[in-house]
Amino acid sequence: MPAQRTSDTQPVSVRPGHILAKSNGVSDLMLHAMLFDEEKGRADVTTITQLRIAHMGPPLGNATRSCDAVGVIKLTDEQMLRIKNFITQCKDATKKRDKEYRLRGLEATSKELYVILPSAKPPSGDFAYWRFSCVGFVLKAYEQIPIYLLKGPIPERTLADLKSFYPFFSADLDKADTREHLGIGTGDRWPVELVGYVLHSFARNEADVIAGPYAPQLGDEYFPRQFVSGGAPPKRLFGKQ
Amino acid sequence: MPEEIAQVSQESDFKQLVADIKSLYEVPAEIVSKETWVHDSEGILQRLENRALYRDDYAAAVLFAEVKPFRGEQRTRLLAALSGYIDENRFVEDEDSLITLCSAIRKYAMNMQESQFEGYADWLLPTETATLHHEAEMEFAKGICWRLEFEPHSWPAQYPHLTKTLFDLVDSYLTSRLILQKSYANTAMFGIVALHILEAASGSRVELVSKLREKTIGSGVKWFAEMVNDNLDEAVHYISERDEALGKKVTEIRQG
Repeated sequence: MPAQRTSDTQPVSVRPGHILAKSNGVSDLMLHAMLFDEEKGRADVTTITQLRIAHMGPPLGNATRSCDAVGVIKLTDEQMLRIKNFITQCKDATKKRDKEYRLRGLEATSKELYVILPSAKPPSGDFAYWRFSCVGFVLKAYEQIPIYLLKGPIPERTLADLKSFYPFFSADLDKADTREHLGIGTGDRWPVELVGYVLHSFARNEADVIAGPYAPQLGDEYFPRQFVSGGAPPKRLFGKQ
Repeated sequence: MPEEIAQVSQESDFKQLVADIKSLYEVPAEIVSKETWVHDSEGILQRLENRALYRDDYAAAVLFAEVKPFRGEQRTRLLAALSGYIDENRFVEDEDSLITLCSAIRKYAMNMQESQFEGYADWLLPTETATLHHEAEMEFAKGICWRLEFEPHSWPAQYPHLTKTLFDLVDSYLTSRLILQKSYANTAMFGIVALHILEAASGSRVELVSKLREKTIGSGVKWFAEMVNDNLDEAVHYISERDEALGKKVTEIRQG
């Protein structure tokens, strides 16, 4: 199966362009999606292995992170190159801008280029970037090769759900202007693409992943799936507490 | 003086020294609170129009401009200021300056008027002694590609200088020897997509696109040809959403 959890003892292999995910650390709820972005593959990946990754943090860019799950299919050299090209295209000045905010004693606003719905938003005169969620960045990278990982209908989620999926934005999600900026300004339920959905897309046989997208269902925000929605207490604890 | 008292005194002196040094570098709270211009389009513009600003402060204003909307007369002033900045800095090579330059290019490109397309092309040209850093070059190619793909523009309209400049740029990188280096594949891809839209919008066939298509296939780099095709699919999708007729024209150009 192309998607699996990492463990403390059994290393798994990843290659450039493969998808990595980070859980909330106490359950199987997956919160962050990333792309493995080292020059060569690695066969020593456990829950504590530090890896160079590309992601929409925010900010957009490279960082060093560990991962709790991987989504892996066999990529050709050409496909890896195209994903790398995509990462190169996504130039961003957020880190430098955040430094300037801090120099002026102002709150850094690296979330400026983050968007939840849609998960990828085309550039405009106001924001001359593609704006992404972490999931949107990964989905867009795979569209380049071209593999489409998710399709509708996407389960709709409440604000309380979203607060558990985006704990770092939790306070921001109460602010009307921030929610508007993130694409969830009106309504009370939204079809938001979540990290776990991507892993469940990979949790099919490889031919199916390549052949077509996956329609996620409630509970897929956890990997492995749990039949509870966000906000409810996790059924199973995982990882370090 | 007893040793214990001397030590306390030294610690006290040291703390005072640290406080004195910090006071030299830290901006007092009442001044920090006045830096609200970073969230205000007009405040940013006033900075951008002040060429006497210290270089780093000016660069900061460029960065803050990127994530703010500018409308009407403010947009005209923004473009004038960014144009001056790009003119002076387009050949920078250090990473820090490139981040700011690329930020200026993106903002300018996505906001420029159609009457500014031809002038934009001049920035892509090297001089006898200087050439663009490959990242800046990619940003210029990306900028015009995205401007044509995501923002409305009237047509039929011809931009011969921009078309010729982009053609020369792409043509020079379409060899298997160069396409794998630096940002050249992305630069060439953005250039090809932009040229498809320019040719579609021109209302007449100039055949430059078909020459590049032949050269792309002739280069033998299959993944690059696929990358161009996939990005053209995306361009047609987004253009058709706002202008179905132009989307059809781009499709016709692709089909030769």
